[in-house]
Amino acid sequence: MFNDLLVGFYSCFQPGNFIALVGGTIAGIFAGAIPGLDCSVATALLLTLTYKMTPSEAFVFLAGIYCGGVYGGQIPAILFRVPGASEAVMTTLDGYPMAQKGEAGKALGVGLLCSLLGGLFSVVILILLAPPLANLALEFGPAEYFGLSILGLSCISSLGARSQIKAIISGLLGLILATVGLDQITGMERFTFGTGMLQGGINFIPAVIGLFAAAEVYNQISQRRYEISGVREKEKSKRVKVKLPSLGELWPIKWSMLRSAIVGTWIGILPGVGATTAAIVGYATAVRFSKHPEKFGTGIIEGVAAPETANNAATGGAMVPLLALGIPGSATTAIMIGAFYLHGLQIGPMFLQQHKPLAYTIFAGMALANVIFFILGFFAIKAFAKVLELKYPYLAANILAFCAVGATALGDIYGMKMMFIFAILGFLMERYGYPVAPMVLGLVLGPIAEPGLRRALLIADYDVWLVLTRPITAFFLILSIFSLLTPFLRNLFSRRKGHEMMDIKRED
Amino acid sequence: MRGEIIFSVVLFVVSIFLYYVAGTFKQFAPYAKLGPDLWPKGILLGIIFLSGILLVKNITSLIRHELKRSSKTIEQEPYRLFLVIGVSFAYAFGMGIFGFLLSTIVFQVVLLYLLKVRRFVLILLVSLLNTAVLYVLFILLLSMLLPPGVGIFRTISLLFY
Repeated sequence: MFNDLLVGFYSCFQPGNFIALVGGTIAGIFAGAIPGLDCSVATALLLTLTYKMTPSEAFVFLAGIYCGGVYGGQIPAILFRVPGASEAVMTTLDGYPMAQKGEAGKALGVGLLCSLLGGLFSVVILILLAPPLANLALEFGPAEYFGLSILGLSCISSLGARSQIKAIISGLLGLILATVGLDQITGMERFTFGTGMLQGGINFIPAVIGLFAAAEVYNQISQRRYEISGVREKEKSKRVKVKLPSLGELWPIKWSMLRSAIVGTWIGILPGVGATTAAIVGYATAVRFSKHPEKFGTGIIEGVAAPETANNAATGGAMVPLLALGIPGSATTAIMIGAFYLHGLQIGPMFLQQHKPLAYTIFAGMALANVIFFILGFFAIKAFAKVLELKYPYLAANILAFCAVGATALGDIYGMKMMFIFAILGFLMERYGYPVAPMVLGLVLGPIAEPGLRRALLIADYDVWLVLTRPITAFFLILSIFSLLTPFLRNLFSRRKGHEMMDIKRED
Repeated sequence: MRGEIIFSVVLFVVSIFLYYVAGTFKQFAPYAKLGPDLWPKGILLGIIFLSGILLVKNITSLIRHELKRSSKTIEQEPYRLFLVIGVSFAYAFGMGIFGFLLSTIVFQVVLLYLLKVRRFVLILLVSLLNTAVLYVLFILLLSMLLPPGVGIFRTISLLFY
């Protein structure tokens, strides 16, 4: 493993790979720092650029966007109380009060260092966990794949924070869209309505560009973001300088950071849940274990350290199921699957065996992306903060044109039309509270789940019970039921608790 | 709320229609028990069931709000968004005729105007600059084929390709 890792680092330092890695990290930080863009939008938007890259350049580029994007969100969150990306939403709670107290530099320094440590921790876990997990998955047959993809899909209920039903519907819509085209088993046409264009199925890349990037522009336009002129004038002149915390300041919060790193990595590993949830849970855990929970929200170092460690720890975690099992661990990693399609790579347990040098280049690229954003964040913070002065209409025009040209370049005019159709669908879904990430998960997992089930049933001579009770399949399915029901039970429990509290108050 | 109800109704009706379409899929004798319609039908039943639940919940909620007269939906200039979407599709259709270069410049000029930018020199400069960046990235660096358009537009585009 050590030798493979050395090969990975060696590959990352090849000129093409290194330029792609640095370029991706810079693009990621900018995307994370600009409200209305985040790493999933940036990944969808820039996916097309990887078309002519070598696979290793493409994946280190995307790794850079992912790690840089999750870090970048904290810059406006701390300076202007505007989370650049949803991952940084918890950082505003203590980061901005610190900035108001004149400690913006220190808050940025704590966030930067904790992002680095959280990210590196998760990469170590990724390197240790992905290969044995993939080896284990080599034993999987169609039934186990079916169970595994159902487990991945069951996590969609946690992707819909507002309504689990809507999240499940979104996932089911993804599954039904995945059935368009020729049936993998019988070769019969499904939902093509006689058009040749749909015979090949829904083109994944224009679909994700539309759902994530273009839909977000429509969403921002509907909310009249174009009328907000960048960041307030008075804040333009703000002097930004990163000040790293001393060891004495970090030592008292070492356990909190470690807890956040573990929590963040674990949440990242869970299919379908990403850095935003990790930041929320990381912050909540820090509050729960703190001796002074009342100080959170007033501008303390721990309040920045916990979410920033956790959200960056989720990046490496989310890559574990993707690289070991072919199941995306977050929305961004689901979009990354597009890059595997583009380069003709089969993602799944065999990937780590068949493309070992590439896999270890990705591991090394993830680690280096963390180091690169640390260096860039330390020395070039002013440039990243400046981007917030950009007015939205210029950004919107640029993003929409980029989406259109990107979709056209990969799928001709038909790809572009498809992209705009998915943009409208994504906009409507977001507007009415249907998260789009489960739909992408459905699009990715549908082609694994359906043939898995049907092949397993054919092998078992249509004995459903025999298929579902295979030990690993049954284990995955039980976990899926548990995962699907947890949010409902949690809601029910909290509602009941709320009623009890109200009863107690009335009695008082 | 009304928009949400319409969205649920559309989901419900389209799913029923697709369920009917799935029933018309050609069957392949050796896999008759596990035909190509089995999986889509299962998923569509799920969507029909869940969107039905949402529909009932939303209608109940709407009636309550109507009774309380407390709900007000605030539409924020929907016509501007419709125009932007319309322009997007015009761009998608226009690219095949006018080619990538011309249509991208015009698209951005119109879009910026729709988004209330009124400094025309700036609009033109930004549109030209953005298109130049896309041209360098996709055509020069990535050697990707972008539509050159037809007729005279094709001739002009090919000068740059």
